[in-house]
Amino acid sequence: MIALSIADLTHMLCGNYAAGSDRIGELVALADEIGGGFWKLTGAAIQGRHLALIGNAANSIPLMISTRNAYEESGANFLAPLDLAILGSTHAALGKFDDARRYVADAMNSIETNKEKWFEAEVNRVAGEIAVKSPAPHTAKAEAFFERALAVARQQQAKSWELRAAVSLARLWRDQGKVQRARELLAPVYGWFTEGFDTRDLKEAKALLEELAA
Amino acid sequence: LDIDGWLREIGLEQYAQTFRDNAINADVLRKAIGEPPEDPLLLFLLLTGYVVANGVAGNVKACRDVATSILSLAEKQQASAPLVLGHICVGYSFLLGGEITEGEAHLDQTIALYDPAEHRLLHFGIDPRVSALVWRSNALWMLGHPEARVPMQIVQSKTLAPSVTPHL
Repeated sequence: MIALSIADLTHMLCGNYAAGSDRIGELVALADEIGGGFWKLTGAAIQGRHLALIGNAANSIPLMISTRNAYEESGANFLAPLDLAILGSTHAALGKFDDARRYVADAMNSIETNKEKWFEAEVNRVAGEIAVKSPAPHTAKAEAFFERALAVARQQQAKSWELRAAVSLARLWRDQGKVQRARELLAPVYGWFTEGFDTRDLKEAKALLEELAA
Repeated sequence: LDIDGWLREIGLEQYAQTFRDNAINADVLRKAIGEPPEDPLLLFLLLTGYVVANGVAGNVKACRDVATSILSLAEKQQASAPLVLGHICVGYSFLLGGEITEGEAHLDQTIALYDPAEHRLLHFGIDPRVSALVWRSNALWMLGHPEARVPMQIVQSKTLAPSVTPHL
């Protein structure tokens, strides 16, 4: 079960949502078989994340909130920064920006309190995306969040988080007409990679670089 | 068993108050672990449980502190099973704490030291190699190696013993 649940996280990070979905049913069936309440909850949490990542915000939100609450009642906070950031994104997708900002602030507070920092760069990137997408975009704030995401990723030597942050910041600069600056930021980060060119993040980065070069 | 004396003897006297605060005596230990307290692995299993519990709770600092204590003690003893537990605990807690490169190195060490005959069901029915592989796959993705996914044959649940504790 540990293998199924944590491997699902890897599939999710790679943007391979279909492979992850296939394994949720297996995890839930196994949890039923041995009666593991924690694992049933984990299966539900994974389902909530998957719904969010495939764009089904309306169905993912109640599932993610209920599993998050159940986790907290049991004293479990593992992956809270990731789940709260996803809740921020899904609320933003539904136009609920006050809630989106609140969830991302909760994610940052969770990192500060519990020191679970492996998603810190991504939480900052999501905060930046929410600032950009707000009805009255806060571009300065967004840029600061993206810069923070880049700094954290570089400090952690986390090239995949760095790539995501660089794509987000490059898009913001492109929209501000700073095309060359965007290209100079993204090209070396993308150029570092030697594998994974079929994964979602690398495809998106490549497409953006091609657009910036045109 | 004198818990205070036992902890002092193995260089972990800093946990004496925690044991007292949680009323952990020899009887509690025996019931909790199902092993006699004199078992040399008992302390490592107990502390590994503490690491897991704090990881699930999201208390990464506590998780990391105890994990480094486990590894430090295991290195002093140079015993194989404690070293496997120490490296996986440190790898897991470093990864959660964002020390990804360092965490990945300890997960590699877990895999390198793993001997199926000796370690397969070492902690709570979970195979440490499987555990290290899946945690490492996330570390490797973050470090920019997205093709380093868990080999699919590892994630075939029918080949694995069902775990009764979360994580690790």
